[in-house]
Amino acid sequence: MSEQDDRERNAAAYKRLKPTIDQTYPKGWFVGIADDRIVGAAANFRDLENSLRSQGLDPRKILVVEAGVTYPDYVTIFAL
Amino acid sequence: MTPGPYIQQNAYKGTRPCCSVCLRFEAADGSMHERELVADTGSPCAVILGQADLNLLFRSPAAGINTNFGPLTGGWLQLHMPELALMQSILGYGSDTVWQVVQSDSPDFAGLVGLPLLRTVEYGGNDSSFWVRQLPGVP
Repeated sequence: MSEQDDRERNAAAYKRLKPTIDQTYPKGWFVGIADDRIVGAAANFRDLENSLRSQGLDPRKILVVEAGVTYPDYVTIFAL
Repeated sequence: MTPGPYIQQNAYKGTRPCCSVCLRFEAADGSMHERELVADTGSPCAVILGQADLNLLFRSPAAGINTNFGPLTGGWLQLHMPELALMQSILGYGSDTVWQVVQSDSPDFAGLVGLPLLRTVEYGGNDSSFWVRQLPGVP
C-alpha cells in the first residue's frame, strides 16, 4: 500500500473515530491512528512517538491527531 | 552584566521585501535542519514547507487541508529552537505551489510561517528588519 493510500485510509478512519477520540481523551492529547484503529495516545507528541516505537510501530506511518480539535476542511492563505 | 534575551533579527529580503524567520527542525533521525521562512500573519497554518522538505522533516502524518493554493499535506514537525523557547511539535503542511511562490521572492525561502507559530513568540519590525524573541515569562 502506498503512503498516499495509507494517508487516505487513516483519514477515513479518523473521521469515523473522531467522536470516540473526543469523548475518551482529554483535549489536546495526541492520538495515533493506523489500521482503522487507535494505536496509541499520550499527553504530548514526544511521548506518543516513544510509545509507538515501543510497540514496534513506525511513527511516520501513523496518523496523529489532537483530541478535541476540529481541523478545518478549507482555509485561505491571505498574503501571498 | 547580564546579556539581554536572544533576539533573532532578519533583514527584509526578496523581490518584494518580506519578513522572515529562521527555524530549526529536528527530523525523525535526530538530524537538525534550518530553514528560512516568510513570516505571514495572514496564514492560518503554523508552517508550510515544500513537499520534499515536509517529507524529510515530518515525524508523523497529520490531517491535510484544502486551501486557495490547493490541497496541503499535513505532518507533525519538531521544532528545536531553545533560544526562542520553541521546542514543541507543531502542525506543518507541505505544498509545492506555496513553495514556488516564496521561492519567486527569494531562493533562500523554504516556505511560510503563519500566525499559529508567530503568536508563540514576540515579533516586530522596523525600517530595516523583522525580529522575533521569546515570549516573556516562558522558562
